[in-house]
Parts: sequence; C-alpha cells; structure tokens
Amino acid sequence: MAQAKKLRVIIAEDESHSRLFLKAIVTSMNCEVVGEAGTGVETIELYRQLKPHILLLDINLPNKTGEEVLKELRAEFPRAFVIIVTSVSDQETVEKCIGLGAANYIRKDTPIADIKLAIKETWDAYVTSLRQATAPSPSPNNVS
Amino acid sequence: MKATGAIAQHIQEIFKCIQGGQGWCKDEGQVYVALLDHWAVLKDYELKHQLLKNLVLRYATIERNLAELNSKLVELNHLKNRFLGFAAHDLRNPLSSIRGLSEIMLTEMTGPLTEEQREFLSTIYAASRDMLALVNDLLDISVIESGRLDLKIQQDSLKTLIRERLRIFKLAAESKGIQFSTDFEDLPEVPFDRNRIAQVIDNLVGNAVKLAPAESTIEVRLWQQAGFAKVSVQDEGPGIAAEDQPLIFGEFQRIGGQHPSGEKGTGLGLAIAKRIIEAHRGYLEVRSALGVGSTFSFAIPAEVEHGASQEAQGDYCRG
Repeated sequence: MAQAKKLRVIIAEDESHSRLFLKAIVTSMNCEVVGEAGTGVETIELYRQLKPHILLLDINLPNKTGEEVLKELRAEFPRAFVIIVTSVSDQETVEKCIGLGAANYIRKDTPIADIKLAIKETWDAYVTSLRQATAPSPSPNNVS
Repeated sequence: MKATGAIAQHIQEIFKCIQGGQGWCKDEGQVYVALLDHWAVLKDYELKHQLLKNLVLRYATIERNLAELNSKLVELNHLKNRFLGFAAHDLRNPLSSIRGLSEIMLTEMTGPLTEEQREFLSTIYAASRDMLALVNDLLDISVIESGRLDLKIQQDSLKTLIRERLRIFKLAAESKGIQFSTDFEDLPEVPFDRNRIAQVIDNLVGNAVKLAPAESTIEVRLWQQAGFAKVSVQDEGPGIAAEDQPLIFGEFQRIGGQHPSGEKGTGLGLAIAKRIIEAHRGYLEVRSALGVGSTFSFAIPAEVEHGASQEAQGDYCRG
C-alpha cells in the first residue's frame, strides 16, 4: 500500500523557539513543514507561492497582524485552512479570527497532546465538510 | 475664661504639627478630651472656636494626606499590574517552548534517550511546567486586579462542563487509585463564563487529586439551592486547620503546605478561583477538618438577575 501523502504546512510565527516547537509537533503528525514565515507580509507571499493544506498562524506577527493576514488570505483563497496560534490573553482577537474564517485556534501553552488533537480534529472536520459539499472527495489525507 | 497655660501650650504644639505637615502629635487625643471637658465646664467660647478650627484643619490635612497616599498606591498598583502583565506575557511563550520541546524529546520522537538524559529532560520539563503555571496565574491575578477580567457569560450546562473537566483528571486520579464519585442534579442551563468556571473546577479538582490519599474517593456534587447552582468537591485529604481556613483564599497561600506528591502549587489558584466566582456574583467557601478532609464549594446565580439595567448587566460581565 502506498504511503499516504503528507499534508503540507506553513508555520507563521515570529519567535524562532515557537516555530521550532510547532514544527516538531506537526512533523510528528504525518505533516511536512514546507515553509516558515516570521512576518505577516512573508506569510502571505509564502502562502501564495506554496498553497499549503494548513497554515498555522500566530496572531502577533510583525508588519501585518495575524488577523490582517487571515482577512487577506481568506479573501483570496476562500478555502484556506488556517489555525490560529495564540496565547491566553489574545482571546478577543481569537474570537474575531474565528469570525473571519479561521478553522480553530491552539494555545501554545497547552500540552502537546491537546495541540495535536485540536489540529487533527479540526482538519478531519474540515475534510468531512468538504466531502459532503463536493463529490468526489478532496485529495488531502487525514493527519495521524 | 481663657485656656490655662498648659492647655494653650498643647494647642500651640498641635498647630505646629499641622503647619509642619507632621502626623498626629503625642497625647493629642487626650488634649482634645481635656479641652472639651474644659469648655463644657467653663463655657470658654474662645477655646471652643480655637478647638473647632484646629479640628477642621486637622481633618483637612489628614484627608489631603490620605488622598495623596491613596492616589500614589493606586498608581503603584497599576504599575505593578502592568509589569506583571508584560513579564508574564513575555515569559510565557519561551517557557511554553521549553516545556513543549522537552516533552517532545521525552517521548523519544527525536531519538532514544539515555537514563541520564531522561532524568535531565524530566527536570527541565517539570521546572518549566511549574514556572508556566506560575506565570499564567500571575497574569490572571494582574488581569483580575486591574479590572480587566471580562467574563463571556452564556447559558451553558454546568453538568457537561464538570464531566468534561473530570475526564481530564481521570488519569492522574487513577494513578493514585483515586475514584471520582459524582452526584449531579439535572439542572437547566445557567449563565457563566465557560473557560473561567472550567479554571475554577480544574483548581478545586486538581487540589483534591494532589492532596487526597491513595485509594480514596473524591466526591463531586452539583445541585441547585436558593437561586444558586452549587458545585462541591470533597476529598479525604489532610484537611485544613480552622485558623488557616480564612487565609487560604489569599495570594501565595498553599493548602496544607507541601503536597504529598512533592508537586508544588503556585499558591494563587484559590485566590484566582475566588475572584472568578465573585465576578459571577457567587461565592466560594471551604469546610474542612484536620485529618478528615476538605469540601470546597462554589455557588453561582442560576439566573441572570431580573430587572437588571443594561449598565448593571454590563457590570455583571466584569470582574
């Protein structure tokens, strides 16, 4: 049986240690980190260029906030699958981002198992909803 | 009749104190009492005028000094909260990464570990986890103290929330052979902030799991009484001495000292829980006896108050 195709992920996060942390998590989930961005502008450029399955987007990015990036990307790519990466004090912004079309959010200070579960469940729900909306099913594989 | 020489001298001293901005003079209270007696007996109106003038001046000075001091304290408290907020925010992200990356390495996802490496990493993991808990609690305290605790009140099921939180503690409880015994009344949905009440439940259940002896039972109850939804968590832990019970909701207080497991608490959890419950216009209390165990209970209004004005409703949503 052929190896399941890996999901392609971009991590947008200005702090290198957080990028490393998120990268370690997603690579353990049958995902490939195809790009890393440290600013808002860089994130939009990288997304256009690589069109990943998943974008992990930090709220506090320099030169364009996560909220602005999300708004622009969702306008250009309405099916963009974006998970917001946040800290607890950003709750208000998180709610705004969910309203703007983010699939879910993860808090960096939660245990790894919870972060992985949140990513997996959100992705699975997204794939299921796409399958229901369009037949035949979309190509991406489930994360493990 | 004029004030006697000794009394007049005292009055002069008191005036000097006022003019010099000094505090309360030595024996000043007794001098006033003597002056009042003197005036009452001898009807010395000049002395009465002097006495009243002195008292008015005195109160004005004290009030001004207190207002200045109060203003300085408010400013200092504001600065402290801002510092705590910034410090906590800037510490939390790197701490999350340290804890997370050490956790990843401990799972041997990045390769096998020697015993020594495992021990070192376990220490890094545990220390960063505790520091993260402390930083999160400090941030909560700073948010609550600065009045920025915005509650997102929604009608929700307390029963579902308690069940969800107990599932999280199941593994930790089972590792000590602790059983959860539950007794939940079928309550209608009540108004509360789900995340904040989850934090309170986590604190009470987490403390119970830490302090309860192995092979014991923790009883969790939910019921409605006198317009309040009530939740209690009862453990068979060491209990809290009567004289310590009023102190445990203060900041940096640790229940029963060191946890038997050696795990440290931040000493802020109950202080935060109490403030969250009070922001819901409820109350948090403890009943405990040494050697018997403790029951922590909280109560929140089962309904949003009827007839509350828009402003009061807004206030309801604030800590």
